[in-house]
Amino acid sequence: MTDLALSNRSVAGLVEPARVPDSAPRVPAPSRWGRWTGNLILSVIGVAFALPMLWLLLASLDSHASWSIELPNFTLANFQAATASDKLQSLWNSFVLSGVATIVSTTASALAAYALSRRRIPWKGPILLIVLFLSGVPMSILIVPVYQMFAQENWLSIMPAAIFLGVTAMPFEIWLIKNFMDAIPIDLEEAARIERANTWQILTRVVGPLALPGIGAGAIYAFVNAWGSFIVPLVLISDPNQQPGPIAIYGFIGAANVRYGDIAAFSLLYALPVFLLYAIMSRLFTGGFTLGGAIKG
Amino acid sequence: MRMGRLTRCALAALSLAVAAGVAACSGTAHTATSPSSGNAKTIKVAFGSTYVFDTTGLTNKWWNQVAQQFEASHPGIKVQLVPIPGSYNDIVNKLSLLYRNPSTAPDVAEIPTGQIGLWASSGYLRPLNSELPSTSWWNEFPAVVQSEGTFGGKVYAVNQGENDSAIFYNKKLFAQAGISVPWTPHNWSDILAAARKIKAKLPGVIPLWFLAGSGSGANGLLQGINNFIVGTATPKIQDGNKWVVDSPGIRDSLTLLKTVVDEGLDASESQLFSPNAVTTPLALFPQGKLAIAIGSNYYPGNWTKFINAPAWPAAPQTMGVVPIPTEHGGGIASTLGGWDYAISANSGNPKAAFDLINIMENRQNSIDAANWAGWVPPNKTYWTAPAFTNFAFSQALFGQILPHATLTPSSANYSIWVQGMGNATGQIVQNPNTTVNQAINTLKSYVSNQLGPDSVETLK
Amino acid sequence: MATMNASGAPAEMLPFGGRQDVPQRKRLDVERFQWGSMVLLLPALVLLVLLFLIPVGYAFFLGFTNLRLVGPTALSYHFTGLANVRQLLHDNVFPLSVELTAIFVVGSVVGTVIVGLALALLMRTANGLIRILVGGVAVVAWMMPAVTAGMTWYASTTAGGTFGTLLGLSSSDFLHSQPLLIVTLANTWSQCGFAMLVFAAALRNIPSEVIEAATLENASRVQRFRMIMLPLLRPTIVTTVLLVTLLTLANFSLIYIMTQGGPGNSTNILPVYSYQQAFSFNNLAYGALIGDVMVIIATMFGFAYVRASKVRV
Repeated sequence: MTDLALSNRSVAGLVEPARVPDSAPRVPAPSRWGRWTGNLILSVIGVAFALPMLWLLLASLDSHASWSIELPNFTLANFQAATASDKLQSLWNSFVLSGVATIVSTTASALAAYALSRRRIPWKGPILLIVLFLSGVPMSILIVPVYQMFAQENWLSIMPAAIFLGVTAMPFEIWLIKNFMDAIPIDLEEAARIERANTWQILTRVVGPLALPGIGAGAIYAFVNAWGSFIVPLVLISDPNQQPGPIAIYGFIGAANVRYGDIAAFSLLYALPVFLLYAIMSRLFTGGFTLGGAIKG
Repeated sequence: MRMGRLTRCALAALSLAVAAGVAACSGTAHTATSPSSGNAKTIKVAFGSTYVFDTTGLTNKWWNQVAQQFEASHPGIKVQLVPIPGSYNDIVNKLSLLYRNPSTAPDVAEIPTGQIGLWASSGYLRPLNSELPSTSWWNEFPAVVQSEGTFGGKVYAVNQGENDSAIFYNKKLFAQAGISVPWTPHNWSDILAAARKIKAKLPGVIPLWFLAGSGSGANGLLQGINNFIVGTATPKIQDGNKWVVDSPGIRDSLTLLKTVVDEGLDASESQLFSPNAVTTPLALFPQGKLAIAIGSNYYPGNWTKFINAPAWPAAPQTMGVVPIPTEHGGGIASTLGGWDYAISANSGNPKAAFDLINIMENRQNSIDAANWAGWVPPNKTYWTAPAFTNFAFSQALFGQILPHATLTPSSANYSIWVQGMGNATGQIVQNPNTTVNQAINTLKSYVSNQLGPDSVETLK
Repeated sequence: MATMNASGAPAEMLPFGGRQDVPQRKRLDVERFQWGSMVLLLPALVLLVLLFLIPVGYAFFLGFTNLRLVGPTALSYHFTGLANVRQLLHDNVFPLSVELTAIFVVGSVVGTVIVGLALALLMRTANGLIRILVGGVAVVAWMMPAVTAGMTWYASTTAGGTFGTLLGLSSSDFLHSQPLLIVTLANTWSQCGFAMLVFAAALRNIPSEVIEAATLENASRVQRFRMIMLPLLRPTIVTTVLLVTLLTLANFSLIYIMTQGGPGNSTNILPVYSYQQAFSFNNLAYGALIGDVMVIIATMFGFAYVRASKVRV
């Protein structure tokens, strides 16, 4: 057996896989009463969150939708308008925009977060804080020099805009992922190093799986940051066929009339993919992990 | 290694300074590039894609229509449409970004009337004086419409379509309240009298829709208090480079608003502060909840089935339209504003750009635009065209009002005056104890704080 | 056991035998900077410097010029030194805006962290369906584009809206009578989903053995939470506070759509005021300066907070 295969095996043997098929979290089980109260409080909070969205639901089915909440004049015409071909195109554009932004941002951020978490980097603390807070510059101001740059380089289309959106999420993501990596004990990596694993193996087999919930949170952040962005695609994408969802909403807002019902219907449709994404990912992360005796003391 | 607090702060400051320094070296002045040879093969046309016309579908229909007509008559030159989504602010912002870069500056752009002064002063626009005399349409524009694009004797933009204002009233509700129709208010007191009668006889109905607050921005003034200010003996809002914050006209208008609000003749605060307060009467009139409103020319068109915003087949029989009287009578008061065409100073083919404008100002296209965007066409010979007058009721009346309308300022700091006036009128609605003096003070202190004490003026 | 090598410098014994000369001044107990780290940092570094730091630096610089969005100084603008700062010091709206921003940010952050943590804690032991639904609703509230969230909250809190109707006060206009409170609620609502995700992931990082050990020692749930989980969560709380502060400052669209900074100036927080100056009043440079001030205040707060919570960054 080569040394490599040996060390792979040893490293893999130290941690249980991140995805445990059994979905129960490893928390001491509360009493039945405790569980019931917990579910109740959670449901109350959930209803409180959903309450403002009630208007969305009712207005989307109302042919005479307006600001007030009222029983709808039932119609499906709003959903018809919301699924017109150009609107569906904008949904697809949103996927592309957010997907590219997430991949670019998460990859760069995860690597950088690992280095910042584990390695010695001079002036790490202040630089991190400064970069983080520089992202507090209002986007509406920042977009002016960015537009200038992109116009000169002829980058006024969806891909460069997606990369820019990814970059704007990076300060946050680096912080987030680094925060999670800091919480992973270093002993595992040291053990792996003794087994002569190189950095890449450590990343993919030790730290990576353990930091997956954190990386996942960062990825979701980058996705949502891009999914809800309005001013960046408005300014940086010149082709109307490449515009994403939030721009399409303005198709229902004119100077002399606002089609509330259509807006509500489209917004519900626009929320659906993220809801599904969350539902899927939460299944993946339900497992949690355990260090299963890998560390003593 | 822990760094001292001082070291960290110094580092932060240093990196910022470096960044600023780099930026300072890299770009300060951008000068406009010299115009190119003049026979480019593509002309770019920028316009609002969702906000200006009543629907996106109509927007595309109209612009494709004019582009096709142009390309048919100009083989070899293509029209590249640059639609700008979003609402008013987004259009202005995107346009201003497009213009900063010679490669993205559109040859022809659709600019709001209120911005022309700004655009002209930045050197972005090409004067059109030499081309206009040879057109069939320029001299048919009323003088006030011609002046909206004219600065320092040069015409920088020509009108695409105008909005003006008039009083809309519900004839049925008037009959119920015992006011004789057709109703012709001769002065402001007549308006008050009718509103008071409505309040007395029909308690569940809003008597008068009088906009207030800063929620609707400049549009809120255009369809609100400005229609009264321009109907007084001191209609001026801008005097040279000073802003009028106190005048008999402004005081009388604010007093009128205060009377209306104090007597409960206006809509509720919630309704007036809504960002869509300007178009709420369109929904309230069909529901019979509103008696009188200062409305605009696009109301009748919106109520047709074609525009459907909302469709109200009974509108022509139920609604009466009458010009807004001046304060003491004897004249018509109205604001005006709309959208204009302008050609870029750096256009690669100014002649082709002007040809496009020529096509857009022809009878068919101009009337189509007017009907599909809720405008009055600037050319007075079109006001009597059946295609225009048959589209919706009382369209012709709005054409007749147009020459009597008064322009609002389009210079750089008007938006600050708008915000101040919005704060003042909003204060009157929110706090019943606000006196007119206090409201004037709000306007004066806001504008003078933002622009400096020498920028405000009181007219006697 | 120290030995000397040929040149007289101390030589170290390696764990499995062999010796290595040790240079006199290098210490082995302090981590050295490895150049391999640069490889890991490179993608982020390149992207951030090119597409982020340079534009941000330029945006900072713009605050000290006379750039306007349109007008004579739209194209040919220049550095004006402290002229804009002088305007800032005389501006009556600015101090008001700072105060409103402080209230808005503190309210939002406190609300978001508490509700987000509560959600994450409750979701661990909840029924699977409820967990997905509630979590999904919180995440949907977070990802909603600002225009939709703004319209939704506008519709819910003005006269005839959801809140009023459900409380039987359908003519009450909560938004215009308590504007700052309502927009703070709306902002908190739109960010709890994010805090929930972060805390949920952090909770998973807590080794279950630690909790099991505490349970074996008969610690109550409250004691477990206060003594064990809260300290372990402290870095995450610090991170979340910083990130939510930034998210809140960036969330100007929500408020702009709901109130446009009004009525009057009652919700004219710094991001909204910066936009108003830059784009409504056309004074792009002054708006940029307000943005700069925002960043500086936020950064100072960030440094102070990290210091105070004694968390190693």
